[in-house]
Amino acid sequence: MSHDLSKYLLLVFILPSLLACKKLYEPAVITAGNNYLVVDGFINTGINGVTTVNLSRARNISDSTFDVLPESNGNISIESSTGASYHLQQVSDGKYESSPLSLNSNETYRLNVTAANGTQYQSAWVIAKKNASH
Amino acid sequence: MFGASMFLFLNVIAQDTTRISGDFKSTGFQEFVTAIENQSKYRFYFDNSETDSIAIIGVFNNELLSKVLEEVLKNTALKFSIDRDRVFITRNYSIQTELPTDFFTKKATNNDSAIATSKVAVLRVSDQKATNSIENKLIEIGSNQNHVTGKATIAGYIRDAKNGEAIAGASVYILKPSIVANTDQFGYFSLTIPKGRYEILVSSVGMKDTKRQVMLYSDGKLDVDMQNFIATLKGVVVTSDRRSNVKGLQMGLEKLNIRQIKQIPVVFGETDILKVVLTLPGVTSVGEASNGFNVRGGSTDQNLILFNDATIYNPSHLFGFFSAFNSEMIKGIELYKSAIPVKYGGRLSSVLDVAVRDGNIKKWTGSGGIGPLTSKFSIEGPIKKDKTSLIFGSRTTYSNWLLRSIPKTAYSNSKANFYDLNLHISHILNPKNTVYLTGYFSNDQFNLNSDTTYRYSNRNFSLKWKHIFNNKFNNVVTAVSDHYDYAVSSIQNPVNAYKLGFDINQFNLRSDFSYIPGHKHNISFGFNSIFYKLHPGFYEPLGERSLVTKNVVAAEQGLESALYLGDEYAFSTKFSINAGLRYSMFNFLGAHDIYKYAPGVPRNKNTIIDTTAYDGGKFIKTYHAPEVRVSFRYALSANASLKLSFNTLQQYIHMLSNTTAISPTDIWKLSDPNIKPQQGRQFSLGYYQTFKSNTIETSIEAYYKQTNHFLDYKSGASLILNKHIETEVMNTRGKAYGVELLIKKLSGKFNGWISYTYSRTLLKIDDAIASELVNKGNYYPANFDKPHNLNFISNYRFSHRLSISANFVYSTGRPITLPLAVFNIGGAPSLYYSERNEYRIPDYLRADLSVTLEGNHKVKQKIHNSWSAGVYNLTGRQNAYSVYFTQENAKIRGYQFSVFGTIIPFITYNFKF
Repeated sequence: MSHDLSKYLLLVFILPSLLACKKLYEPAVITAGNNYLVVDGFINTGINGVTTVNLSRARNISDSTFDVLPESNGNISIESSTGASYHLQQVSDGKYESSPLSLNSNETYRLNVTAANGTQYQSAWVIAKKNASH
Repeated sequence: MFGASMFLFLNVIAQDTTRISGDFKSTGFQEFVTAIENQSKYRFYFDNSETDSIAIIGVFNNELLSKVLEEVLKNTALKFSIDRDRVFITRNYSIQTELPTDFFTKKATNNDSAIATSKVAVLRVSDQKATNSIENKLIEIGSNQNHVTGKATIAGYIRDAKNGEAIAGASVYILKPSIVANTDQFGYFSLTIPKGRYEILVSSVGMKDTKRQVMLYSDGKLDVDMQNFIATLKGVVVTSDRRSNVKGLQMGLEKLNIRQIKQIPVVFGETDILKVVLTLPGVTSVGEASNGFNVRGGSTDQNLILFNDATIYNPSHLFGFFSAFNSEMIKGIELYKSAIPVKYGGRLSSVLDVAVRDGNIKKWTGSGGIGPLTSKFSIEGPIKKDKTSLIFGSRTTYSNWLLRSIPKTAYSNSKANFYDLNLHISHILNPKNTVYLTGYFSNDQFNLNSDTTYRYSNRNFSLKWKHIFNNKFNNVVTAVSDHYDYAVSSIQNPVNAYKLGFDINQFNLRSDFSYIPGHKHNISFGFNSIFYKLHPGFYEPLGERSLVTKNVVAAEQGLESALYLGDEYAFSTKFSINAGLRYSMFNFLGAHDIYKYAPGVPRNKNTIIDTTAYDGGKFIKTYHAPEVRVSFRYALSANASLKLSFNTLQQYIHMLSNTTAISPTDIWKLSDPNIKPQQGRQFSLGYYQTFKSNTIETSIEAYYKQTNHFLDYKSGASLILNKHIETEVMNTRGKAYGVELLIKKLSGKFNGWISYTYSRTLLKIDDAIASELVNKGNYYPANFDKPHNLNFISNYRFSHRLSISANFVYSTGRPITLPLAVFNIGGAPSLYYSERNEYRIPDYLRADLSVTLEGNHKVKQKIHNSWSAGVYNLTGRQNAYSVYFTQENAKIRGYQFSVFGTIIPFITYNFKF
């Protein structure tokens, strides 16, 4: 029956329009300069272990994914539960290293970070993972 | 009406002493009469067609009726006469209520019998104007007994006089005392009232109110044919729908008949039931080309979609462009959102009951429609007049031209086809037995650039037998076979040609009893049993040269059974309760292998500690639970009521999907030893009020809902062909709450509704052994959480032939998890994401307009035509359907995709013969 009806299609008029479309989606929240501080590294509790931490800034997703933005002139220290503090020295742009330390793996530690703009950050206390090969 | 009648009255001494009071401000005549009848013993007899054009204005204080009527009818051609407590309104001539003094002496012999039997009025009416006279003819029911005391039950069918179609949801009632019965889906009612003389009133939306004069001696049968309601230009006011939200006990129920549905403009001009359902309060969807819908914060698989009791697993064509129901086959829909009737179960959120029309039992007719993308045709008629009727409908598409017009060559070789076929036969075996056979078949095929073929199909058969034991007791037995399958195949490269798919089969047997012992009780009970057989997934080579390795996920079997008992009890006319208990049980059946996982640790392939193989038919796991359904109604006044309901539900079948809409990659899964049934409970509270003689209905409903064991998926879950799905899912706990406001006007030149819904749907991981916690284990918005929804649906009828419809739809955009920034860790770039569903896509806003022009209404005409033209998405707004991110030249770009991102004009031609 529908085949008989289809000749009536001539009566039918519709603008041949391209119905679907796509456009750029850029809400304020993703273009707002999301330069979160990225702290990349681990506390080395091995014997004479050197702790290396990289500080960098995240960037908007519309920026190139390869251009790393290192955070220089920051200040990083490791704090132990007994109150000891170990400073990390900036060795290159965004890269900070401790001197060789032999941290007590029975204590808990946290990281204090001050960004170049003076904002302070602090990690949670963490227990050293034993037998970890870093 | 009383034209050629002769009236004989006993005791012809008129006593007009009752006093009448009232303040009438442009009151219609019927209303005026009701007001007088309510304060006196007077009963009016008149022809509506002669009185509906007068409006009554005046204040009367303790006046004699004769004075009042004199005043009221002063400037009209109407006359009145009062005979004891009977008042006759006639045109031009008044009725002589007194006989000539010598009357009895002349004709005494002829009147002996009348004097003997009649204690009431003896009214002889000519049959020249059939409808009017039948309304006034006294119908004697049962055997004439001397003592007219106690109660009796009248039962029967309410049908459309034109085509014999059963009218569901019609009200059959008497006013004094106020007792109402409603017809069931077969148009059957049972009304128990004290014996005696009554005016039985019958009303239904879209039909002309009618009445029968009945002298009830004992139990008996009363079938009533109703006339189509044809709106006259004078404007007739529908004064009473006893099933309105205020009067009915049911809450959270949305009812629409096909007339209302057809008025609403939809894309491409094809009447679409599911698109209309989406405009109702509390119903949302994730996007416009998705036919799955979300009710009060439930997921799409928590809706039970019934097509004459057959379960439809995929209610859409062409991936959601069109709904799978042919509007020519449909009588109407009912959507239960909160108080789900005790006879239904198995899904947590809602029941969408799509009722199929019975074919015309009087004569053969047909109808059809031609639109830009689809055509439909239906034919109906009596196989045997007044006994057996048939209706057959089919629909198909020719949307390939649209796909070809898409400039991108990637789609230009695409093809899309669908069709659906419906057949419904009803057969009246005898007055006590009726059988109904319904068949439904739909098929969709979609070729994406002639490489990959997607195909899915629904196949359903149902057989119903309604048996009436007696006026108070009846039974419906239903047997249903449902099938749904889905497959993707590719043959482009013969070496890896494949077919991937799944299917669902279920066999359902149910028996529903209805027992109405008196006007205070309405008892329903019965059982329901569903046998499931699912093939969750197969992947197999296609053609002889294919080297694809066959991979089949073992079939699943289950048995879902339930017993139920419910009673609707009226303590008084003000207070009534509907209480029901449903006990449901689910058995996961063999043959199947069941994995046992190490306790207390996240499930994955490596934590399987044991596998048990069960034989066929073995009961592997049984779940069972009681389900409570209670609702209360308290009438605050004749026009306002308050309702409260609580219900609990169980769901034993789950849809697994990585997407939020019902899409081709969904699969279905039964509860098993590792996947618990979903549980839900809901409280709701509502206030209902009608205004302007019940022509405007308003309601406000609030709800709070909780669900347990709702399945959410781990990030990167792989569901297709997965033999241990339980390792990919997590149990969540959900809560949903909201308020729904509705203002509805369903009669008059201007009609439509406005609905506003505020709702939230939140989920929280509630799984002791989950390997990851979404949003740190706190509540997060569900994918379909859309807080604000506003719908405005309107229709204005300029004349019989011309009407205009307009829609306005607004909703908050749905939630999305956004990548916020790129960062480097260990030298490699990564994306930093927001919390799950922390942000939203842009708000949705759309306006549509359509004009319907009907051909002339000459009754003798062979073909009746109508044209509909309109514009979908009037403002051309590019509403986002989805948002996605893609990497382009080492940068990440977000795009929003709009399905209907432009103004879409359409024109459709419909015909009837």
